Amino acid sequence: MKNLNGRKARMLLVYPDYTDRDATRRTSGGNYSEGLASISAVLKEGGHEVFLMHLLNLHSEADFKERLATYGELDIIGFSIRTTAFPDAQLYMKWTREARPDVFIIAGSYHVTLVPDEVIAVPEVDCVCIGDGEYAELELCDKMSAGEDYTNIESLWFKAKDGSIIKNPVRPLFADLDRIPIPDFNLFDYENLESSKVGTAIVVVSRGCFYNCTYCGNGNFRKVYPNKKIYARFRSPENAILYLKTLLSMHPYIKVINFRDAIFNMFPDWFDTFIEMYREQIGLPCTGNIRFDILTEETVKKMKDAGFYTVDMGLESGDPEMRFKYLRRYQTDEMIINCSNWFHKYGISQLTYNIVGLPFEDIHRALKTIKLNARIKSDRVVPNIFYPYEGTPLYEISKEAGFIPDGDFTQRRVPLVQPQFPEEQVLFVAGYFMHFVRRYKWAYAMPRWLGKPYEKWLDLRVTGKYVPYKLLVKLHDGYSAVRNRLKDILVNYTPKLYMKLRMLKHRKKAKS
Amino acid sequence: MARMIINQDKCIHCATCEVECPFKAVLISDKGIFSIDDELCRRCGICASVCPMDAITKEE
Repeated sequence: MKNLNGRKARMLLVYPDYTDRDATRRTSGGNYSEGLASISAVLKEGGHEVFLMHLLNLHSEADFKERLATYGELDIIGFSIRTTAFPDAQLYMKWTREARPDVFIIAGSYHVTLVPDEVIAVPEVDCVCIGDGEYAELELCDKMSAGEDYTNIESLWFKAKDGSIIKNPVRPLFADLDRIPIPDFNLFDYENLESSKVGTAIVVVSRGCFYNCTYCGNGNFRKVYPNKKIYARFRSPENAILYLKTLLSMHPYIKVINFRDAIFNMFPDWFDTFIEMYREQIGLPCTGNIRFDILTEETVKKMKDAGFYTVDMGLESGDPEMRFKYLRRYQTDEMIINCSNWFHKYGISQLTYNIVGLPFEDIHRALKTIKLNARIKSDRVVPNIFYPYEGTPLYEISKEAGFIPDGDFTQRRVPLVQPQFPEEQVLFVAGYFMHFVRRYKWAYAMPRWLGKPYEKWLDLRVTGKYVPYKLLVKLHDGYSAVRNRLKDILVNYTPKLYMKLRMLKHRKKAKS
Repeated sequence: MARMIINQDKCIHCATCEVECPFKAVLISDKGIFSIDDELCRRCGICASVCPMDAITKEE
């Protein structure tokens, strides 16, 4: 039992914030994490000291230990663990234990919430935090500081001396998000964050999501709480405005707000009230994740007036059967097309998120996703390759169908192995997604006598028997590497030019 | 006999009722409209208790 004898705790948060394990160069200032900023704000309000080790690339043992040594004396080290970062986090925890044998190691974030047994089994881990961590960690710091028994804190699991696990229940959620202090933005090297470099602030004014999409962990996060009905909550519109004003007063160079709430219009009444206040009191260009099926034209008009210049929307699959049967997203093509027309009408450009390589998908179903994007004239598309997160319904479906290969699939480019949709086809669709969306848009814009045969020819280029998928994937990989490097250079060395180009692109797209 | 009714103006299609219903009584039409099958429904009220929008009520 760690006892700080009345001294306040010194805590280091370790945040592995990279997706490409081969990326050894530091390309940006990384990404903001609302969860870590919020934990820091709560702990600092309680008088404790909090530091951040923001890992922007895979660290060697020597580099990691050298950085760790710069933080001075530490009582607790907390690891924020995404699923794909878990293998690296285990290494970092091992090196941490070697360098600091007496430090208390806690792990949190969504991977821990989904599979706490797996994480607490890591030898170096003393404790895991399930669900929201601010007040559990504050209680841990307070009790450690006061020399009290902390092994009974709700939401935390501990390793007992005999090797057994003390599994405390998860604390109930509180309904009023306004009680959480404004996040500690400056925990990060905020001015050098990837978003800040292009004058953009990443903002989150809510917690949770009550949709039940089968590929997402949200349904399982919700289950861990005793009062899951209030799992999805927003700060009050007034408090959300206060959040923004505080942020802007600290970082006046911010010119664009990027709301990263799971579904920004989840509560339509809240959303209508908020965007009205945002228009009056903030008025900066903004964007956010918007859901198709709960929008009205009136709200879209208000969004335009408030400053929305672009929106992100989850389209996921263009095949209604995939959406209804496997994804639990009950949106019809008609809903999607109507909503999209409103965005075009009011000059708001749209980005869609799409998933390729879903269980039971094949290239013909994936082609429907490309075509629906073309029909709604998506301005930008993000074609993600399906990743089966453990504990999600779609993971179970994939496993039951035998699509999840034996052994470690976390580093595979296409995690599922499906005979009807081989890896090279999934990579081809993901790689050439926007290319074909553009061409199908042309086809739909042509007179029917010309558009129909052109569409047929495009169909052949995607699904034809003799398409050289592997070769095309290789060519695309080379092109992407060059393109991403150029974007890195623009963002890092000429951010103002990048910002101008970005705004110009959105305006042009919204007009077209 | 009591019936569970979904208020379509409040429903946001989150499917929490569908996930939680122990009798698989929540139906979703191909237009994405949620309703409750009176034959399968046992009026346990779980759907109403979990609905985050309070869109489901029991009508006598």
